[in-house]
Amino acid sequence: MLNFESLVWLIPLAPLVGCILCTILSFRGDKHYAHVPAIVSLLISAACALMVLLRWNAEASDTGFQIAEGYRYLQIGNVDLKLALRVDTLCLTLLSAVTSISAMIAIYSKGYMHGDDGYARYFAVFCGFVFSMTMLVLSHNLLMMYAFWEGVGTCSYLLIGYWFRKPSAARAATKAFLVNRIADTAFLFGILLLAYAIGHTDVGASQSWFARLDFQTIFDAAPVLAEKHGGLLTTIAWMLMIGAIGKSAQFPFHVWLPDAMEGPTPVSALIHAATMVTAGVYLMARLAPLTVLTPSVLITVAWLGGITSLIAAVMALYQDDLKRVLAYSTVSQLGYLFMALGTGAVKDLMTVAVVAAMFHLVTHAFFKALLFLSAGNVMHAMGDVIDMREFSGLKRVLPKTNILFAIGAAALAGVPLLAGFFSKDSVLAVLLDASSDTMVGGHFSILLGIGFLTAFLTAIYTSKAYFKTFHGPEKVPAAAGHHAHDASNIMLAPMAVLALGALLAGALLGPTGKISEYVSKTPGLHHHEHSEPMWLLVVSSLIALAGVFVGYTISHKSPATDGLGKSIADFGRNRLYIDWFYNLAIVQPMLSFAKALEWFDTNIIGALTDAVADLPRIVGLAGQRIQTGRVPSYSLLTAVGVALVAIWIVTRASW
Amino acid sequence: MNPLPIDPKNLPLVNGDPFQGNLAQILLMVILLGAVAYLLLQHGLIKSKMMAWAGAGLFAFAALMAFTSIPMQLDSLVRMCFSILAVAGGIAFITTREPVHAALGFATAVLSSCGVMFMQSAYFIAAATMIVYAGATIIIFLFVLMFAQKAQLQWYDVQLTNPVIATVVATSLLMAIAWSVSESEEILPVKLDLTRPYSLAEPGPSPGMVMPPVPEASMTQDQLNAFVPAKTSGLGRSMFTDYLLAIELAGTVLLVATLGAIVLAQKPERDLS
Amino acid sequence: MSHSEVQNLLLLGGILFAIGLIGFLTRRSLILMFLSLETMLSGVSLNLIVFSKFHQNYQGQILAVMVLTISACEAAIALAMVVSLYRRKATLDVQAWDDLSETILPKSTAGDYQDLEHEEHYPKLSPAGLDPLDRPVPSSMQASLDQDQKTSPIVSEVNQRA
Repeated sequence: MLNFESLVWLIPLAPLVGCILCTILSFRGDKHYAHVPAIVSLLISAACALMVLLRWNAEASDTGFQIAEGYRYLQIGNVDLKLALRVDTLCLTLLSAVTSISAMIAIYSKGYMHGDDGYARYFAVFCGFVFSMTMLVLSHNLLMMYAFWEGVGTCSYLLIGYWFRKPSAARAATKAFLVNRIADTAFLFGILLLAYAIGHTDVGASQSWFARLDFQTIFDAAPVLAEKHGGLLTTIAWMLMIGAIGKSAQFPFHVWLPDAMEGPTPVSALIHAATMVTAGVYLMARLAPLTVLTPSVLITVAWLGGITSLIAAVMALYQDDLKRVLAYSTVSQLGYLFMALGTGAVKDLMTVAVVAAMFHLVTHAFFKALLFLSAGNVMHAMGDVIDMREFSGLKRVLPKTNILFAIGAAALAGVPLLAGFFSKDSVLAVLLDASSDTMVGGHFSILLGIGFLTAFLTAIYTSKAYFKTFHGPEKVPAAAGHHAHDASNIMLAPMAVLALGALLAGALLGPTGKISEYVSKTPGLHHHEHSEPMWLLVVSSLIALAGVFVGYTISHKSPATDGLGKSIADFGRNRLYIDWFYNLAIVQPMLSFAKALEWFDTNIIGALTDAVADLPRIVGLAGQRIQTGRVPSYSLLTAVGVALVAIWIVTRASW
Repeated sequence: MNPLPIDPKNLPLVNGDPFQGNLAQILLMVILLGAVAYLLLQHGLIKSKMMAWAGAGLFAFAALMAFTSIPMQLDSLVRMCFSILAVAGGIAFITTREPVHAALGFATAVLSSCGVMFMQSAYFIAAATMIVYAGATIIIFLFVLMFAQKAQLQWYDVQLTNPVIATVVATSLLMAIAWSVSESEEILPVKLDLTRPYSLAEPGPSPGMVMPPVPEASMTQDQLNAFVPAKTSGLGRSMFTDYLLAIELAGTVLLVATLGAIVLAQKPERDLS
Repeated sequence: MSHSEVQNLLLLGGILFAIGLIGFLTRRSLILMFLSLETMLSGVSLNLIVFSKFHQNYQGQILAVMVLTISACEAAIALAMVVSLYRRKATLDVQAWDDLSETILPKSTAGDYQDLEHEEHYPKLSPAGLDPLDRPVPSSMQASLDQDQKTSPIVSEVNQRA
């Protein structure tokens, strides 16, 4: 039996080895075997994560976390740089979800990516992503976390632009990268500012810059900072929050995520629905002991989450592209998570907020991955057509996918007793708790309303998408040919596992109090008794069922062609004109600026350079005449030179 | 040859100064030489068998005198003969139109300068130069000439490139040399430096080797005269002890040049397939 | 060794050098140019020997031996080059070789002499450094490739085994 530290280290290292092997295979242009190292390494990683999760109670120390020491690569004076992993219940919760879902999706990808030119490259980046994500989650240090934060960003870029010869994919990859860059810059500034600020407290004064960013040091120093330099701490929290909402695609950074659907569908399932986008949520939860000291930032987070969840739900309502509906739904659900985290602003509610957020995060990961993979099946069968207007009534063509999609959609819509129902309820419950606060309760009352509205809209667009796709008159696009068929077993098997999670995860974890008990063991959080009122369950069940009904009724009506309905539909279809506004306000001015710089470069700097470059040519023109290429003239010049030097030498004394 | 003064640290070999105050005359002479050279370049040397026979006779006389023990007074006369022959041969070499005649002029110049070298106690160099230049080189040049020369004179044998500028440049270079030679006061005293400047061997005598004696103040004139490097054996000893590395390198260069010449002169292989 | 003797002999060396220089600068025949070079070198050797005598050591003579060696090398290579140049254009005129001149200058005499051989011979290289997947192999190279494959003993051995 491996010891605990080795198990922890195996979680990130197994995908790293898989990544290296797949990279080697990709140099050989492999198309048949690259999935083997990927799937094996991801299964090892998932198994290790689950074993650590199960052995946690036996291993846990009083501090509530374990440091798995790795390689110490530099030690000079008080600079002590080491690779170490920090394990606690918060990160184990996320980790087990990430590794198991990514293993499932890797198995699915074997079928989905079969025969693609970049088969090995796909699995290499896939494993690289899982490696970065696990390291991000396991980091003991904020700076190390930032490094892998950028690592997952890079892998995301590579996978969105996987079909880089397709212009739209290349553009989407660039867009995702640039939007994230803005947020990440703020994040980096926040980290540096935090290190600077900690250096001015007693806790971190004697430590190196790197050691100051250790999470434990941060948590120790945060109360001191809040007491002495509250304004500075608020600024830092703002910066970190911008980084989090950038990665998690919250308003105003949400624009990159729907475009990211240009990548292969399993990638959308893994990165842009289940795992990477939750890194922002994880960051906020990880830093809960710090952010709890800055309620104003948390209220902003809650508001941004609320706005995002609402507008994303509205946008999802009017999309025709199945994958885009799911993408906007992801944005909307992430908004939920941020709303839940924002309730930490209320005194003593942080633990409950984190628990609710993590609960919804895990269940969402299961059913959203399931939904995306189902959409991938549809796309696979329909010949890469994903526009819902092109097909309908697929329940006989894709019977198994029909069932799996139905499970995922029901879970997302919040149909009672499925995963999404319980987790969404816990979010709403914590909002309800927060709204009774005397100080900031007003904010959360409105946000609770938004939460209910969003839940209603979610149920509508989910059921609409489902009924439009799988029910009604059967219609198959021409691109599918005559052999539209359901996916192979290798693709359906991992989906069945995910479906099991979507069915049962909520009921197993939520009402039994398991997740609440488990996550609240995280250092910095304290266990609080918290109960959900029964009427909330009833209300949200009713809302979900009503939404499903509305969705069913509108699913086969043609959209309004005139009047108010049409203008609202246009508004939703055009993504509330936010992308248009960004293009007008940010992209175009930048492009104009770049054009001006280009003009300056060509006509001023370029001209100067050309002038300098012409100088030798002009000088050369003068000397060109003597380059006759003939020996006599050259030797004559040499002789003249020798004679002049000789004359100079002998007459030197007389000068 | 003047007797060597006794003090070896300060041996002013040169007492007289015939050029003192005659610089202008020397320079004038050089310019005149240049003018003559230009005229000869334009019109060629007087084509006369008399001249050739006179030159041959002069050379024979000088050579005979050089090889017999000559009285001190005739020494400068013989040297003068060789010098005149060398210059005349050189002028004939550069002015004659016929390439074969030019090669003969070159041979005359080289042989005469070998005579001068002989009189400067450089026996080995003189002999080697004779063998290499006047022997091997001239013969091979003549072979090449025969190989390449057309029946009648070619345009490029007759026409000259930039004769005026070339003469002016060479004359001014010669003037500079004459000027520097005529600076009599600063002429250096002779240093009897018989230590070994660069050697592969350890400094100091090695077993079985007779070290050259070092001149001392107490030596008589005859003993000091023995230091004059008149012996070919002394040159050989210096070559293979002090300058062993340089000589070996020179031999290597010679070998490489031989290989290079063979490769360069090969006919290209036409039939590659 | 009197002062005047030294001066005279140094002057003699200088005169030989100057004569060689004039010859090198004015004559147009390749062979005579190289002979002029030898004259210059002989003047230099003479000077070295005079200094050797003057300083009463062997250093000058050693240097003269070096000059002799190098001039022998130079003569050998120069003659080989003259021969191969003569094969090209059947002339000894040095002005026939002005291929390195600037293009704007008139070619004075080059037009008078025509290349005897138009085919250039370069060392035969194996076609390494070409990615056969990326770029099409030039036809000339292709021919040599085929030829190599035909003639290479290893390839034929492999073929026989197959």
